[in-house]
Amino acid sequence: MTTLDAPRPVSALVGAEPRSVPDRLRRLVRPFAGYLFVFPALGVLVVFYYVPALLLFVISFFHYHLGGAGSSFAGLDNFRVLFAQPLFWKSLVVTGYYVLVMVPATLVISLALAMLVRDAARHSKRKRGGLSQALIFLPHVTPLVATSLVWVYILNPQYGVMNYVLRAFVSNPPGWLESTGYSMPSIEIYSLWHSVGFYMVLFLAGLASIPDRLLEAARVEGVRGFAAFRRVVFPLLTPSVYLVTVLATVNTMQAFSQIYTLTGGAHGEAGGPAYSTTTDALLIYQTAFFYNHFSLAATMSLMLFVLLVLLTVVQRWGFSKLVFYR
Amino acid sequence: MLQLDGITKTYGHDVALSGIGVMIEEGEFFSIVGPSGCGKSTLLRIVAGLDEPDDGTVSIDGVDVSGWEPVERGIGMVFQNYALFPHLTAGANIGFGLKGRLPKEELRRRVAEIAELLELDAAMLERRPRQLSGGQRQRVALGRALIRRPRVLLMDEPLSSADAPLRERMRSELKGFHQRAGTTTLYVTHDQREAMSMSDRMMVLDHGRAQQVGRPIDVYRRPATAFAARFVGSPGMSVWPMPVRAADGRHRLVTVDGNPWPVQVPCPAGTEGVLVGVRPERLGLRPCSEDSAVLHCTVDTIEPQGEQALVHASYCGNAVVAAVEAAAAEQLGAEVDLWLSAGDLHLFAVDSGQRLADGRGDAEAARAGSAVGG
Amino acid sequence: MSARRRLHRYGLGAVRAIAAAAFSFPLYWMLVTATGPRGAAYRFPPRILPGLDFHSFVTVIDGSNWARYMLNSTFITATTIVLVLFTSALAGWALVALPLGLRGAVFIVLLGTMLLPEQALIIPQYVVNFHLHLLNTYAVMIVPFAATSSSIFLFRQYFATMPAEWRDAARVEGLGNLRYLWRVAFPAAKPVVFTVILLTFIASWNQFQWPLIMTQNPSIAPIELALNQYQSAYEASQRLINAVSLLALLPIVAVFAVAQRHIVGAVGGLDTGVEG
Ligand SMILES: Nc1ncnc2c1ncn2[C@@H]1O[C@H](COP(=O)(O)OP(=O)(O)OP(=O)(O)O)[C@@H](O)[C@H]1O
Ligand SMILES: [Mg+2]
Repeated sequence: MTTLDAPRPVSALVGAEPRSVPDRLRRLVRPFAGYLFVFPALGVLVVFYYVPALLLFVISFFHYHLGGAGSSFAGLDNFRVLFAQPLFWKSLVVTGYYVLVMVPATLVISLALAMLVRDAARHSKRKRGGLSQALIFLPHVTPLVATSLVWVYILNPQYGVMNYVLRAFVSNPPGWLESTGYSMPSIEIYSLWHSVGFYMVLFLAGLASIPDRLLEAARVEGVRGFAAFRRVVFPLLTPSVYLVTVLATVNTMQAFSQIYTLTGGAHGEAGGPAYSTTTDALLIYQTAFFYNHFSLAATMSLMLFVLLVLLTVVQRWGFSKLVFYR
Repeated sequence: MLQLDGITKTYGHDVALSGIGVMIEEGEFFSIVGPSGCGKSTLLRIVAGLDEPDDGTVSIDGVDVSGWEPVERGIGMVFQNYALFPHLTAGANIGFGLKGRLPKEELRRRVAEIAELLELDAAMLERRPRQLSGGQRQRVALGRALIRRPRVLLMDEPLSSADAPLRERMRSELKGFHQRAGTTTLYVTHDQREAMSMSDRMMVLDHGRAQQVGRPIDVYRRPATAFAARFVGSPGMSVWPMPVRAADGRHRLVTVDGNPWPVQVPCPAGTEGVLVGVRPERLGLRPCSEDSAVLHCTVDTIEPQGEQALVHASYCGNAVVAAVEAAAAEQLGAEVDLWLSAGDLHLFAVDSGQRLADGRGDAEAARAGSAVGG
Repeated sequence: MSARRRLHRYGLGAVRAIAAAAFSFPLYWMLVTATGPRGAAYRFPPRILPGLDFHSFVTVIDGSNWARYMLNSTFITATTIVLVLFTSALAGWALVALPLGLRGAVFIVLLGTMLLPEQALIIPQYVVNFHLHLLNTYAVMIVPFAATSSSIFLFRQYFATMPAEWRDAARVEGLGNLRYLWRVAFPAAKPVVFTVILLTFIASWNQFQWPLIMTQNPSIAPIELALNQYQSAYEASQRLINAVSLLALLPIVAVFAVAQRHIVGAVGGLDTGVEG
């Protein structure tokens, strides 16, 4: 049998550290220890997010040239110029059109998909949506450019497979990305394809939080099918509806890459044809980097910022009556 | 060896510890026992250096270690739920603190040595805590605490997460281990049976105050306060207040209906009452000596325990417990007369709960004390 | 089971299969187009099964800087992941366990960027990068993403659930904060580490607008940005465009195939999109 060595004096302990740091120094450093750990993250976020956020306000009120040389205070000049630009108003209309289609469509489609996938999970032995859920979600994690490119091909009016199928039903299928009327719907189709899987997952999380008990209780009362959905499921799902609405709004207001790629950014044609897809994000990009007008681009960014804040507030207010929190 | 002096700690207005002082000897197994929230963990953490006391000092080997980090104090600690790291194997848990401080070979040797001491086989050392039984986990936690050969081993309710049979086994394992290793041990528990059966000495703690320090048998035979009397023993003493009447210069206990009891009370003039305590085993269904007294009680419940049964009764609204033969207990009706011998009474002051010098309880303790030479 | 219920059940199954097929179609179509024979992409009726012709991939890989772009993406993504883990774990730990004056304010600042709209910031971010001489460097695609509010939040939440006793036990063994974090908290936070790796991988691999704006030099372009150039270069060949897109997409799909459940949980649980 082994026994421990005879106890030794404290100073002879293995691994016991000598008392090197004086208590006073320890006390002095201790309250700030956290900042040492926070510093890298804080530094990055402040420099690359908070400073730009402040700068946004500054630049908007200056005639700013990159680098700062020759810049001067502009007061409200930038705003005057901006509001006199028909293209700015046009971009707001285009963006509004995009958002107003995307948000309701996202809500309906992703909720329907969530019900469909969840229903499968309830009936299957493994209790999960499995393959179909994964396949519907997958587009969301795909890179926007890589997958936009195949959609450009699919939607090609001449040799795309979309019109190949449509020709079986209509004699004159749309020109999609090449026509002013269908360019925005094309982008909407792509964006829905890319994002509804994500919102579906949010709805699934919401649905999962509704206890089966409640549906069973409703069923005992003779409420089932669509009535059960409308009277039991949907009211309990309103927090998810709110979440999806806010996120979908914020995300579509800021869409850039897919619009850029689908409308031919690589050929310098982004936003076309005839500005029919020039959303705010695209216009900001072009103003700054094609026309080198940083102040104006910043002013537009500020407007977008304000608009997003307003929308969020309005939605919050609007939903405060509808949303039912448990 | 380990000396505590006037340890005081408050959290806001709550006094967690107040003026705790004790001297623990080399190689001693010392328990701190008390109900939940009485400050046991707080005291242990202060000894460990995990918390700072508001006042008072901790000395190890005569060195005041106030303000030292735990690792500088040379202590080892076993936590309540063992606090094993789930992502490390048992072996890595044991060697955790020495990793990088000893050469690999040396560390492996030390872990193996500890494992052998704790009877953990090599296969066990490869497992993660999740794959170990409660008893094995305890041994790993013990190993982690012991590997740096601490001067003092601290344990905070190490058995509380085990179920009853396992607890029984681990208790004797721990005791056996202590006998082999001889490490000075400070052991915290809320279970007085554990403290009674394992300790060389123990401290009964209540509301942050030390009620009594002494050998388990002394605490049992001669509780220093009413709290210690109630707390120690299975079940503890029944304690109730009784009036005191002074007559011809003596104080005597009287029952509520005015009958004098055969017990004199050593108390200052003007005392109107005392707390009276008696162990359940000392209450019987028949008188057993000429100075017997009787309690007319109503029976609340009877709790059979095999050979014996516990009779939970009320005496003038005070709970009284008697341990009697199971067969006799079965015959009981709604009322019972419980008899006790005057010499078995323990008396405590009503206000302070302090023990009053008294009759046979003391005599017996003194006899027992001299018999074992302490 | 009644006939009606069976119909209901199999009917739903069929709808679900159709939906899944519809969502997978574009990716499938990439494969069909890329592996078909030359010129097939422009002929009717279209081929509907993938071919076995991998010449398009050979053309892309041999005939362009494809490897360079992939390497750029890999480098940017890997570095970002390491840095994000580093900064977020440190910050998350500080928020939970370290003395931190004005903790509430620090918390808000660290998590607040989730509320800042990225499109509105891109102009002033360009200005900042310009002044820091970061334009046209690898660093500009890494450093600004080396800390994210969501990762800090995930670490903070996970660390907060760890028993305080672990910390005490490690302290008794003489571990300081940094070593405790490295040896206990971080390895024990494996689920969060995975989540952060996956989310950072997806966001970093997929970034397009940022490098489009912040870099001009093709030799440092990540693959997503390079696709832009391929789009013009291969304008005449859908087969090649789809081949190169597929190659750019492959790492994402591969990771998704392996970690699908975790990714869905992570992305869904975090309530944030990777839109942009
Ligand atoms: N960090 C703290 N902040 C405030 N009060 C505390 C803190 N730690 C302990 N206390 C209080 O101090 C008292 C003693 O607590 P302690 O944990 O020492 O009790 P304990 O005897 O170990 O109890 P248990 O058997 O439940 O573990 C309790 O009243 C507790 O509420
Ligand atoms: Mg405790």
